[in-house]
Amino acid sequence: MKLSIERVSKQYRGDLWALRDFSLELRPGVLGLLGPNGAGKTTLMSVLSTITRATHGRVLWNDIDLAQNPNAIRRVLGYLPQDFGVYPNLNAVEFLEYLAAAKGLDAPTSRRRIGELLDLVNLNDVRKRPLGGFSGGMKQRVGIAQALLNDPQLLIVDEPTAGLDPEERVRFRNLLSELSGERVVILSTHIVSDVEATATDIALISAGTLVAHAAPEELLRQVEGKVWEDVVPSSEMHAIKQRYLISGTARRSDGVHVRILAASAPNGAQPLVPTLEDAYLYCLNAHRAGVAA
Amino acid sequence: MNHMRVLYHLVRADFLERVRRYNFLVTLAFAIYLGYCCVTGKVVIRLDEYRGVYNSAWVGCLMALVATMFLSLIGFYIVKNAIQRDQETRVGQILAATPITKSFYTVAKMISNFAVLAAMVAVMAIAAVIMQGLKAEDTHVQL
Repeated sequence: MKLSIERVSKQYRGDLWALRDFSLELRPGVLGLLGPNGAGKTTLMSVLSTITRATHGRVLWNDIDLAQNPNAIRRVLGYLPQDFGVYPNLNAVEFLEYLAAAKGLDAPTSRRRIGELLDLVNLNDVRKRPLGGFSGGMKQRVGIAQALLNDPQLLIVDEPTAGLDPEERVRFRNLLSELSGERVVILSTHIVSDVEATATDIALISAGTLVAHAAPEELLRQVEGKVWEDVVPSSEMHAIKQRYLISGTARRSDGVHVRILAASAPNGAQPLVPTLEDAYLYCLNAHRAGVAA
Repeated sequence: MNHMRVLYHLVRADFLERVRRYNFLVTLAFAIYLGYCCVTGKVVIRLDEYRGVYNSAWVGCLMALVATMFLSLIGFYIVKNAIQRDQETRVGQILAATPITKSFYTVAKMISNFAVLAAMVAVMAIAAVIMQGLKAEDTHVQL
């Protein structure tokens, strides 16, 4: 099982490039695709799910070119788009039956999967209620269920935890971890904690280009010895922000505790254990500085 | 892939989504009201000073005229924008990532449109029988 993205570029109207020469090779596991808003994550998801065609480059699923044969991936694809929508006058069972048929599932498999998935996403009690009356989080859970209907080999989820309450978010993270063994999962998000909990690999994307592709441990190693904590009065915060890259602040009784990313220790600062959020900010900032230079 | 099963579910979902909408029910009520007007004499077709006896043939003829005018003018607003609706509800992008072909999808939408209009005609046909009974000029119903 292999997904290869080879020098993919996507140009929209005018001279707007959402992706430029993006290359990546994925094997079973969870890839956390991290990047700021407008980085090109959703465009990449659209290209991979065959909704949008790349302007240049190609995507291969088990060495089959998706531009030539998009059905090679559609049969084994589970896709949850960022702005997932429903038919408001259908109930959850009717809507999932509809999508199960569209994905080519036979009737017995469809019935079994719908029952299992409604249990899994905790919607069995409201299975006969019109979807139009569902909250954002409940609709998102319907979206998760539809993405898993055909037991996909390639699962693409774009901002899947948006709108979920903390309990459901943890449930979904655990589910992704359980699913990852025998399939390729791409989790696109800007919430680092979601990736931290589930990803076996991380790809950082910024301005349509790949900034880094590595295991979380490798990214963390890059910022080892570069994360510091300093305590400063509120009045000095502006100056600190001008001088250093800040990954977090917390106001306490003794002043503002500032989490600083720097190659050498600022005066009086104490070293900290880096987190993935530190690594993410450090890599993005280094990339932007490189592009600017 | 069982194409008949896929087609059935595509048509069914689209049909149910539309007939459960408020505007469909309002249109249906208006259609029945038009039929009621025809049968109760509010709308009468006269040939010089003669009018038809309200038996099955005449009521059927009136209903056919009403249905033809109604479906072509107002029915259009019920069945238009079938594909745009999938864009607006954002269900289209999920369907685009499935193995369904464009032509298959278009055929499903067309059959769904027929089904929605046929549902209206069916309701008007039932209403016609009831109206004939209420008018009671000729209670013998010939289908």
